[in-house]
Amino acid sequence: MNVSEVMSSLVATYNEWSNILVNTQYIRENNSITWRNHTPLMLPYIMHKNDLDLLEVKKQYTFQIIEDGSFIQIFYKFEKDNSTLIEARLAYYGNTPIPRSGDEWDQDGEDLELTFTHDTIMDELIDSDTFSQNSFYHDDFIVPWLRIDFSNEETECPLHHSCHMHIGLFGDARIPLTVVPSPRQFIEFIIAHFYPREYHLMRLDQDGKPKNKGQLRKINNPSFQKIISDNYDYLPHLNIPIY
Amino acid sequence: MVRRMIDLNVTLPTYATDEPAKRIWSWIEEKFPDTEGVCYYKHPVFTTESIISPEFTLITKKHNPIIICCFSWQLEDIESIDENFWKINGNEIDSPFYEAEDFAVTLQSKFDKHRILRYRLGTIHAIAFPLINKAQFEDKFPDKLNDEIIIWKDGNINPIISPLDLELKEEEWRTLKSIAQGIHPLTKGSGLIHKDADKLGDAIKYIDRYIALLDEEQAKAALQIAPGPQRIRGLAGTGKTVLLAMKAANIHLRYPEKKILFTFNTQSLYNQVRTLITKFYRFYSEIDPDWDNLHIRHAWGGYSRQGVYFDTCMRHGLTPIQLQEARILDRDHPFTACCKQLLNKNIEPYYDFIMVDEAQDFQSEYFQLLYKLSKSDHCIYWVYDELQSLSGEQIPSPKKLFGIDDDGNDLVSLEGEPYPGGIEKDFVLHRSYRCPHKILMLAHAIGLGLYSSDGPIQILSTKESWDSFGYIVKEGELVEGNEITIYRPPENSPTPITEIYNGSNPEILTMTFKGKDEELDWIASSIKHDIEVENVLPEHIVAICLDGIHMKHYLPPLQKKLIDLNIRSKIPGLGSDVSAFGEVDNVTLSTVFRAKGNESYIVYIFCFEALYDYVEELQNRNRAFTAISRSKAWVRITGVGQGMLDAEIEINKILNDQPEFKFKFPDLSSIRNLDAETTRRRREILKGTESLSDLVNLNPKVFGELIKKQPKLAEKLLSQISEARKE
Repeated sequence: MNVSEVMSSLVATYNEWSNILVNTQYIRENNSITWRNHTPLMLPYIMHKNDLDLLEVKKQYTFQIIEDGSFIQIFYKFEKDNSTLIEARLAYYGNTPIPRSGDEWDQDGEDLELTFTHDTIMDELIDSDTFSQNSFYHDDFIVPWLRIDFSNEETECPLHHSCHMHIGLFGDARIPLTVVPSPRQFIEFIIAHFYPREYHLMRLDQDGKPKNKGQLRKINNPSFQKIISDNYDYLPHLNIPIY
Repeated sequence: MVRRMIDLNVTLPTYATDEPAKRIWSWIEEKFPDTEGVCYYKHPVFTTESIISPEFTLITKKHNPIIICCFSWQLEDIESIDENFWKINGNEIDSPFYEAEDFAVTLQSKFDKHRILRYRLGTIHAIAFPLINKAQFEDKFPDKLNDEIIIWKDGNINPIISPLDLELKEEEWRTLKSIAQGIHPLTKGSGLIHKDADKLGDAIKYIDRYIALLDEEQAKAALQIAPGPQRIRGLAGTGKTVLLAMKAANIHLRYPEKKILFTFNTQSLYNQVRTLITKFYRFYSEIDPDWDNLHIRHAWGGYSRQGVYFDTCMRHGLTPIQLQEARILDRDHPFTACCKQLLNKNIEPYYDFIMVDEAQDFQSEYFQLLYKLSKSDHCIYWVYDELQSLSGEQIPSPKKLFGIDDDGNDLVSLEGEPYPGGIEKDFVLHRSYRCPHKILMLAHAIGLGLYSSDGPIQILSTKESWDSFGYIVKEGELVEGNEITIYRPPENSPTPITEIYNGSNPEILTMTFKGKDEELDWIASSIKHDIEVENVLPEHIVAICLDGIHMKHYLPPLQKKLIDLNIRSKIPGLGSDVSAFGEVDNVTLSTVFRAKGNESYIVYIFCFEALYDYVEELQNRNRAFTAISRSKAWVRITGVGQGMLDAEIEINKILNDQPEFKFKFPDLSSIRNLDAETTRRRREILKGTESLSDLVNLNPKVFGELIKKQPKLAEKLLSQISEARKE
């Protein structure tokens, strides 16, 4: 994919998911797809609510999710030819404080999959007067995140594949990916797994089967090329579909 | 209302015993020509060589400003006079003439900074010796006086009366008053005389500057330093945080060594307060405030953020309670648990002055803690937002807040005479500046349901309550069935809009649509028009969704529509409180909850049909009140279907009767009475109901034991029940 295709992918994805992607800040800046006033922030492996506040205040994100204010970052950098990808960074920071020892969870008897961590807890927290009162809450809550990094320095190290995923709390673990996801692929991935209700409404029928298999496949078109590597022969990894 | 008197603003209680000053004021009051003006006692505070204030700073519309320094000396007290030094009772002091001149020069320099006043004024400085006879002085010290302006024992104040060639125009007068108050730093933009504006954006530019001046009530609240507890309350939009910040800055200027605390509840207030205090302080000082003595502190704090609770723990070598433990102790109000922990310890007084903003957000335990932290005079000034919403969580009494001492006396009382110098103990700010008259009245009427088809659903039932809202009961006793007329004097909602804007956009606009899509389309294109044609900045526009439950369905599509029109927007506070409202270059799309405490020039309120939709009518109306009262100038209300049509009918009825409300007083027993007394009683009844229910539901055996063990109480209960039955 070249930079224009990436931009189109991003715009098309926003158009399709504009019911849940909000506060968009994506821009194209020369050879990069990024967000306004992009400033690198050093974020710790163990992230707290405080750190998310930093993202919010500094406006370092591409989208927020209307459901819970989670953040998505989308960054691609190309060579001057605009077709060779040098660097990429796709991140999701979940604004869903991980509560302590179970007593915050209020499932309401609903399907675990559909309520996950978002609706009930966040609603209660947001509406409660004490939520905003003090930094204690912020210091206390750990938040989940994941980030896909790509840099085109090839390595033969299975632990440091050129495109890999970091998962919050799991320190240095770098789970290899076969392809750098396009914006569409990444966002679809996030929504599908972390906002299953919305995904279900958009993509699946009553029985949970795809409404339109062809359409789902086309989400992977266009996509970047598969990263050639022997690393896939050694350890389990994540396969990103190519159309 | 043209005022032709000079208003005296006493800022320190020392006035009560300052006989020379009182005498001077009586002469000024009696003999100064008829004119609109303000005379400050001990204000402003100048940080020149030493930190003092002249006794009087007098400004009027028709005269040059005057600084007066008063001295209570008798002639025999003055031993010698020299150009730079005088000897008074064996002590050498700076020449009072030069000191007065210092003040005048400093003040004049502030005037000169503003083009509108440059070359207009020449500040006069005067000395007053109200106990000394001029002839006798000249006898003792011949040839020592040149052309200094002095007020002598004979009370002749003509020397200080220096009329301007041309009376000050309104704009010049407002600027002069601003500077004297020390609030001019707030004004934005360098525009001078305002022109008539027919575009919304141009009118907006001038509104801010217009409002930046404190009225007399506010100036007193901001500048007086009460020698004990003081409460300040007013409706939202009466500028209380600004007042409190000014107070803090003034106190710090005057008493730089004293410990001052400014505390509040909302995290995001920290920066605003710090900026305000610095601005006010720097108006009269060359340097920044000393933050070691002036503490701006969130109530709680944490390891990464300062706070009153944390600081107090640190100072006393106590380990602060962590959140989890606090929630175990008190699930709904964990912070209260922390305060209780401290209240059990021996807390050392630390602060000379304490300012509490957002007092309505705190429980009484925090006030009790602040009481302990305050030194013996207990100069605690707390500010109440009288009804952020209409559901009066009525203001707790000082007794409720601070408690009682060992003898059962209230620790803090606001009863009785004002403090010396006429400094009020309990301030009510009647004027609401944010909301224009028409819009505020609309907000109240909708909130109370005065014109709803079923009649009011909540009401103020006494004249005093209406007064504290800025209304006068014009006709009718507040009794069920009576036709009532309530009037809002225009001066209680100063509305610069009508003076400044002469375009065709109405102040209040309502529209009904057939469907949501149509409604959102209209809003988006109207916003586009505001920005592209009316020159309004995006950050001055807010769209509030009245339907909180379904906001997730409506805010994103509206945002998308705006994006398609190349307009950026922000939905703040999706997961936390830190995001800013009114971000530059962005229209703000919000829920009512997030909009609370914020304001904007142009406010769209959509999904207004939600007013009638759900079961919770009270909540809906409170939300509508909050939404409408965010506006500083224009309101556009939209919705769909029959609900919106009904709303339009109600709104039109309200607008037709303005500036009055005309309605039938409701049956109080069936609706919510917002009076303090009734609310208190209601709460007590609720509490009593719980206790009664607990008692009745006790296990019969247990109940039997209880009666046996507490015969006296049981008797009392029996007799109380039969008494009550008789009634």
